[in-house]
Amino acid sequence: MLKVCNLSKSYKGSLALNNINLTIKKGMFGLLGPNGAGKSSLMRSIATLQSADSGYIEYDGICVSAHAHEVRRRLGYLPQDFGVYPNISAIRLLDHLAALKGFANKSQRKEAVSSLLIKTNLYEQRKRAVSTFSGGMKQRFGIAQALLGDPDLIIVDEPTAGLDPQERNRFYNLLCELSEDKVVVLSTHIVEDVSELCTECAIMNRGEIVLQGSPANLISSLSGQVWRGVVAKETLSQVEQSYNVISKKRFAGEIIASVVQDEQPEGFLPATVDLEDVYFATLAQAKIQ
Amino acid sequence: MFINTVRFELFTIFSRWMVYVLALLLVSLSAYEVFEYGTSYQIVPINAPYTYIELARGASIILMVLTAIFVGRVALSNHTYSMQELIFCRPINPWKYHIARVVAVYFVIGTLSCLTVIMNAISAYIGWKWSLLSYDVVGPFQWRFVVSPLVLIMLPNALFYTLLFYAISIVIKSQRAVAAVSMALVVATALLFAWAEVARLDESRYMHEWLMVLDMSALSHIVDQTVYWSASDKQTQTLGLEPIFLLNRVFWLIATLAVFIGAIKISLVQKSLAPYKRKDINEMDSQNTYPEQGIHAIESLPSNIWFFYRQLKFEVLHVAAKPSFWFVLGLSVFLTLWSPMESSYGTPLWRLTYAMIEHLGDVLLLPIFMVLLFYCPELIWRERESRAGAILECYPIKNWLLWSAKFIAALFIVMAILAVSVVASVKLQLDSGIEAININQYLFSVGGLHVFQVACLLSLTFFVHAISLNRATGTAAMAVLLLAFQFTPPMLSFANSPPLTYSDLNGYGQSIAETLVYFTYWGSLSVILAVLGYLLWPRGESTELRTRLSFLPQQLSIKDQKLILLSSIMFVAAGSHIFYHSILFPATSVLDVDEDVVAAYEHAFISHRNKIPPVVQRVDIHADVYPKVPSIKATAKLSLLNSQNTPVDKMIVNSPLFMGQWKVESGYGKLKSVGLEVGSWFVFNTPLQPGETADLEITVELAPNIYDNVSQIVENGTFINNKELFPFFGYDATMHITDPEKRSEYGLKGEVNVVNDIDDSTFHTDSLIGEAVTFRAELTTDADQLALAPGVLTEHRIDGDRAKYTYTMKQPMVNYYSIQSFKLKVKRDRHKGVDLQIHYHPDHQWNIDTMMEAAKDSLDYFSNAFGPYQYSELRIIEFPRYRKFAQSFANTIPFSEDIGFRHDTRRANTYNMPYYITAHEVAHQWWGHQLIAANVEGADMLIESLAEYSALKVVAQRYYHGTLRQYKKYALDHYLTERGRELEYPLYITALQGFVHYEKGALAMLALAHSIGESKLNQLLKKFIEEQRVSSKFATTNDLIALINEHVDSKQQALVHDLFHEITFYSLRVDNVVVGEKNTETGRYPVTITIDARKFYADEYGKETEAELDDLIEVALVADSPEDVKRSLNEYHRQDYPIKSGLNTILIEAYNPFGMFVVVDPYMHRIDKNSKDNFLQIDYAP
Repeated sequence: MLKVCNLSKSYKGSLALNNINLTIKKGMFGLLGPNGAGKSSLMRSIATLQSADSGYIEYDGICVSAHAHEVRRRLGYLPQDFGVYPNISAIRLLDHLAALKGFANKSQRKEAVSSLLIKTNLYEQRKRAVSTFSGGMKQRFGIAQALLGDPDLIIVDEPTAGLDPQERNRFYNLLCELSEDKVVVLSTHIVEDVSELCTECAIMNRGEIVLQGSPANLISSLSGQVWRGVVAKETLSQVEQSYNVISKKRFAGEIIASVVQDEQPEGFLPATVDLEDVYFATLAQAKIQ
Repeated sequence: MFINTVRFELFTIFSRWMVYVLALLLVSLSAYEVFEYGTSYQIVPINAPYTYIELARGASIILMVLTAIFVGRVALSNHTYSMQELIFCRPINPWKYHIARVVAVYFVIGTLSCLTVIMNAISAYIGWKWSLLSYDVVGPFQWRFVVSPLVLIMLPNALFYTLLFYAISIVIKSQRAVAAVSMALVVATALLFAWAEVARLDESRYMHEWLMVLDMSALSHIVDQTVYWSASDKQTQTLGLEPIFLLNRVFWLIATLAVFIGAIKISLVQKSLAPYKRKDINEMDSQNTYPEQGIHAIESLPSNIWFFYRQLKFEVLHVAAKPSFWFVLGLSVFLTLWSPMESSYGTPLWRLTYAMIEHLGDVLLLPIFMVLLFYCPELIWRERESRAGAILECYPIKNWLLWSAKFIAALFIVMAILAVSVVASVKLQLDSGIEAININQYLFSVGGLHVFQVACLLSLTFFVHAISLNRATGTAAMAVLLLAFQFTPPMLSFANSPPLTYSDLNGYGQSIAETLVYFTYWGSLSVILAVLGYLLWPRGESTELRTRLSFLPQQLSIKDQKLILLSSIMFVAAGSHIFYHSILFPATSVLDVDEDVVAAYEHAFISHRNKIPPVVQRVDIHADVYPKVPSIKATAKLSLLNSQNTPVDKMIVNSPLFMGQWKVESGYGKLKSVGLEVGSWFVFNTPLQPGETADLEITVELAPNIYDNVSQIVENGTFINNKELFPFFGYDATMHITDPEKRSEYGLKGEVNVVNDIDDSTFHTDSLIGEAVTFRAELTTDADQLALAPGVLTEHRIDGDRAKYTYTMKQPMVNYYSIQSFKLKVKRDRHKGVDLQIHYHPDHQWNIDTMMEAAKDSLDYFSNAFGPYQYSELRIIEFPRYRKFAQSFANTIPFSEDIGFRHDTRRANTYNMPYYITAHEVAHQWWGHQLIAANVEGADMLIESLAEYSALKVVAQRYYHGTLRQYKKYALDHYLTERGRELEYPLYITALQGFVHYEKGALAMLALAHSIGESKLNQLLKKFIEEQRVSSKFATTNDLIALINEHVDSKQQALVHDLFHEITFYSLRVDNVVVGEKNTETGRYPVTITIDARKFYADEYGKETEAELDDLIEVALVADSPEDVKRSLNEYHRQDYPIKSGLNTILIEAYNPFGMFVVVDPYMHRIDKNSKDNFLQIDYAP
């Protein structure tokens, strides 16, 4: 469905996107990466908001940069961070946005707006100004507007930042439900989210795709190579020098380090590999290179 | 902590760019002033105290707005950057905190305020020290004079503004509200100032003083103190802390401090209320799962028109819902209704539609600028600032739809402003009794021209903001552009076109075509900007200009390309048309020639500077006027006589005012070019001997193009005089360069002598206006028009669509005549053998009867006083208001639409301007047409002062003699105001100084009439006309003064000297009045009056030296306040008393003097700069 080919984009001399190649099928696609990896830049390129220096993006056979308008009709986009006009109620604002999407018929528009407000549990609050909404409500409003007109390409850029765990769950449930017959691209830096939700994922770092595949495949590729152990504070630097430490966590006052290598290091135990290990391992690999 | 806060705030302020931008702005303002000074002649040096005061005045209003922006930013910085919770959780005293911040802000604002004045002084010093400025623009450096405008005006104003805007900021917490308040304050200040200016002359002193106290910026105080300063005063005086001024400063200090303290209190209360507010924003619980709901797809996409309608509705509703929108509408209505309307000599004018439209153009400037600089950015940056743009960015709606919806919404604000203002203006018209309201003119001028102009400016604004980094830079760029357009030539002044004047007689005339070309020029550029504007439209918040530029070629549709191409063609075509006709080959007027030509003229012809050319004796003209074109073709057959006693071999022929096509043919000689368009030689075949005559035939053809701005030849109301139409002979002294530096640059020798010396007897045989000629004119025009020239109609014939009129003057007349063609209504009358006609526009019937009456009264008075009227007809003809004067030709008086016809004289006690102007022009039939002045200094007095005097005597006779007090008050004000702007010379050698030969001359003649008696003066004037008629020379002021001196006593001779040979001022003051015990025998109270009197002579700079006063001056006891010049004084007693320098005691007896006013010189026969102290009221209680 969505094809990104040799996409490059530089921004003030530094490469934001470096020769990106991706093919995304229907379903939920997760984009992982640290801050500044180029996730948003890639998302914005797909969402017709910026042109690339070279390469192209194709959606359902349509070139995104040349026919932005056509793509926009089928696109639902939830930016990482957005605002709303002050003092306009949720229902009025959504109605306005629906009109901009192209709902000309008044009753149809009304119906579409109401059902989206119900779907996102905002119907009770529909007369309140969106600018007074809490973070979760505002995010739900964001998804409501992204779903206007039943788009088949949905792009959500770090949607769960600032949401409480419950709200986050609800949000993902909704996305999962939608992803059955649509392309949903989700960017996040929370690895767990991707492993739980996505059928496919990619890891980005410094403007490049460093790893791509289904979470299960990625995890199995690393199985048997990840070891965990408790490390004393004093010996930490020594351990780091001798092993490939991909992450350190504090747990109950102690430091637990994860190491990737073929043989079991001394004092370390085999660990169940999760996507986070894959992520850290990939980043650590990139760092060495 | 206090000091720390101040220091921290100062550090923060100085670490931002804003303060440096403001400083730079103010510094460049003063540098610009210095530069301007250096390039033009000024009466006052650049470093004179008055210059500092003027600078302070100029900077005051700008500072008001700048302070608002600056203080608002600083005061709101905690709020803007959400810092207040961090700050107020610390153990600080909020009072101390706010005061410390205000101190810091005031320090900066105070410094900025002083910057213009100080920088002016410094740059003048630098310019002088390093000889960058010519020496005569720099005077002695008196640094102490820098201090008083700073201490009295700038620093207190800065404090008031700072306190006020800080207070508003911390209470309302909105930069916009602060901006709105500052705008309201600017409006209030401007209005207060305008009202105070009106009140200074028209209203009572108390009204004026009240307005001055309320004037926060103290502009009216500056005017009040400096308005009558002479050139000398401007260099030696500075502002003083007069009681009313002190009151103003103290009042505003207390008021702004109170507001400041109140604001802190309110902000403390607000803070304690804050937690309660948050309670209602509680999160609602939402269900764990999302309800099953279908998502609706869009069935079919609507048309662009539907999108546009939706978006427009959204934007307009948004605008209309804002309080600021209603604020600006209210402001516009307020300005329309309450700005003072023009008036002359306190006489209001009928509120004709064109006058109202001009009024709107002035008062709506501010609201329109507010839209461009405040509302447009608000609209444009709405998505980006609310960050809703992040969502909207990838919606399937086209840029041009978003752009045009916003554009129309902005235009909607402007149209709403214009609409409510027009309604207010129509209401004013209806209230004033105008019945024929020209709605079409409103629609065309306001709805068409004005809206178009604003639409162009909006397009520019949208473009500038589209390519700006942020709202502030966009707004600043627009502000700079709008300011710059005020100074640039029309072709570079965006959306502007040369000024357009409407006349009821002739509409906009030819200028409308010029305006349309300019509109095509700016309109097509605006379309290009609009297309670029929407192509580059920043939809979201993060797209960079470079990105948008890279998208540009992709987005440029065929339609856009066609639009840009078409607009570019129109832009280039209109631009070239304007450039070709108005810059490459500009207007044909002699008045527009540059200095090179002027210098070349002097070089070529200076040898004949003192040679009188042969005089014209006979004029026979034929002129064809084509009103529809419009154009004029004319031939003049002249007969010239060498009246001098030397042969003439050649003479200078000057091009007429409009250097159209002209030629001179004669059997006596031919033209010889000197390579100049402005003048040529006419060389006689054989020198013209004394007493010999020569005939010349001149042919001219004049067809002005639309850029020429020629208002002499128009469709209805052509009026051109012979000096404008035909070439004239002899050296033209008005072609001169005065600046000594420029003279030496051009190699011109000596000083320029524009007006001939009064004692140069060569010019006693040269007339100022023209010599006596026999005159005949044959005119043709379109059949529906009447063509007119001096003389009596001797033949009239209509031939198809052309009409022919022949006028013959039976007796010799001055060689100065008009040619007119018009279609107007006429009122006829006959008075003592003279046919009277007034030709006027049918809508302007208000004052026709008054003017007719004035003509009759004038003929009566003047015939009786100065000798018979020389013609059998007298005609007054209205002409379009493109020019604003009335002029007297032999038996013919063209009278501008704007003068006399438009005055509203219904109110009781109004000074009757139509009556007075008519009388003045009729008086010229004697002064100018019977008495011919020699072409030397003082000639203006013989013509204008005597006409003014005669007219005022007719006015006094028709109304009551007190009515002249109203005239005199305005005349005195005008004289005293104007004399400070140039060097002043005494009346007897006056030249080219209207304020001397009109106002001062009239006052002097009236004073003389009072002293020697009206009938005696009139007899002398009659004698003067008679003597001059038979004299071999033309009249000079010396002749008149000699004649008067022959017939008056020595004391009156001294007065004559003071009035005509000196620039004399009196300082008359009622010092004290004491009412004594009632005299039981007579039943009257003795009233002892002490009068302080002084007399001064001023030199041409206005430097005064005291002179001995010993004169008869009137002292009166009157019932009504002498302050109200519109009412009779109700005299009880009035008599001349001998008054000497110093204190004079006068005793009067009165039956009931209590409550009355003692007034010295009640009818203002003496020129006294301060008439407020000329009277004193006696207490009521005995």
